[in-house]
Amino acid sequence: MSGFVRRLGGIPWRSIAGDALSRVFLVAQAYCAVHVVDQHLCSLAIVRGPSMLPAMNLAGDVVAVDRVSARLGRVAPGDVVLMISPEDPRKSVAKRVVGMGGDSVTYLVDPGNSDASKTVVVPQGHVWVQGDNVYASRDSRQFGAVPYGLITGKIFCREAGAISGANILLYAWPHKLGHKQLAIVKFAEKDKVAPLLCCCVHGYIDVKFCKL
Amino acid sequence: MRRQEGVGRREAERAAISRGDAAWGQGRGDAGAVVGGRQPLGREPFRAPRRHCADAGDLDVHAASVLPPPIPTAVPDQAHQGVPRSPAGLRVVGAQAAHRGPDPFRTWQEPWLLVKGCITGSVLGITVADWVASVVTMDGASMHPTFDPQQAERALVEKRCLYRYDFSRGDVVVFRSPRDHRELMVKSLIVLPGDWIQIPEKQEIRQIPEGHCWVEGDNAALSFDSRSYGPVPMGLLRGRVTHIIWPPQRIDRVDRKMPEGRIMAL
Repeated sequence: MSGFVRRLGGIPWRSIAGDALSRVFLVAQAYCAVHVVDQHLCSLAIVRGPSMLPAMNLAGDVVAVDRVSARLGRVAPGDVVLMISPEDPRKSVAKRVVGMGGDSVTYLVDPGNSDASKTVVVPQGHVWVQGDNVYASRDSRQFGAVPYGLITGKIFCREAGAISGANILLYAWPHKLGHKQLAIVKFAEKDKVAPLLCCCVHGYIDVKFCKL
Repeated sequence: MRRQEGVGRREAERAAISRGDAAWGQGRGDAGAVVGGRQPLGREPFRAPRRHCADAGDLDVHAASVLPPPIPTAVPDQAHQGVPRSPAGLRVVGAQAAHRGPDPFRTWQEPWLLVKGCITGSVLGITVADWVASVVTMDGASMHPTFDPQQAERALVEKRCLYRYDFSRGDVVVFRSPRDHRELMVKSLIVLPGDWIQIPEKQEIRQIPEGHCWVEGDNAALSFDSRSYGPVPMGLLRGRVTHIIWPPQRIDRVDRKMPEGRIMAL
């Protein structure tokens, strides 16, 4: 028993504690560095959903988000931005900026059902965002102009098909047929993707399958 | 006599290392042996001998912790014996090298440490300001009884409420202005999403939509708040004010205050 206690006393506790503390500090430094880069410089995000078709994939895309230019105010109409959703602050959405503060924006109110359009002036400090796929997008047409402070980053790079096993390259040629848009879509791997695409976008666009 | 002892000890140490004997050489209190191991990482004083021992980190901690005496008394013999793998041998060679002249590496060491310290400090500071708490300076009279407009008061803003957006009615909150994203505003959060509020000026009753909140200043006459620009999306909120920390005579908690009779909470 006393031999055990003596051995316990012989262990260099102070140096072990010192080593452990410095390693913990190193891990904390690394974590903080990752946080700073992710929140203030550049980040990666996964976006999914039908509202930005054909620019973004339905099943998901890895995108690179530039935080610096959004913070500096260098966002212009035509940019795709990542922003906090005005309807739920815990969610982020990706949409395209159509108008900045002071611009006059004309938009289709409900393109699936009617041809009515409206014109609105965007207030100062706000932006008007719309999804590319106007038939399946909840955007400024529903919740109004969005304050610029909700924009968290500008999407500048997209890695198509980086998500999941099915490599989808989605090309859509929209042909206007009355009120609905007919999109001819080409898949790389038809058997994996077709059922997915069918059940998700059914009702928004009519899909024709072509033999490759 | 001492030289022979030194030789004997080094041979024993080399043998111990090749055996992988972890317990050898510690707690012995030998003259000159360092009891308790090597310097912790990141806090090593600059010492030329240690720099050359690139292998020392690979070896077992305890075996490598036995340093030779700083004064290289037995140097000439050991340099000739030259088994370069032994940490003792390498350290001795390194001690020799230190005497050759000023080191180009050394002249950049202190400024580099300073730069490294600044970068580390700023990264840690930014992370703490984003996730734990930060300080904001007050300006303007819109929150008059709560914050004194004459002095530029500083308040502590806590960020832990942003993790799950759990705010309460009556909190003093900091948020990005909806009119100008570079400005931070400080007001009282009166109403949470889904509640109804009565606006006496316009004589109407509004329901606050999902994801938005209603903010008002305590000094109603001088306050540019939700009565002018409507409900504010909660994504703009940047924290909650909990304490005033400057000037010293005003150090105090900031409590919740509710206006009476205007809100129907769901």
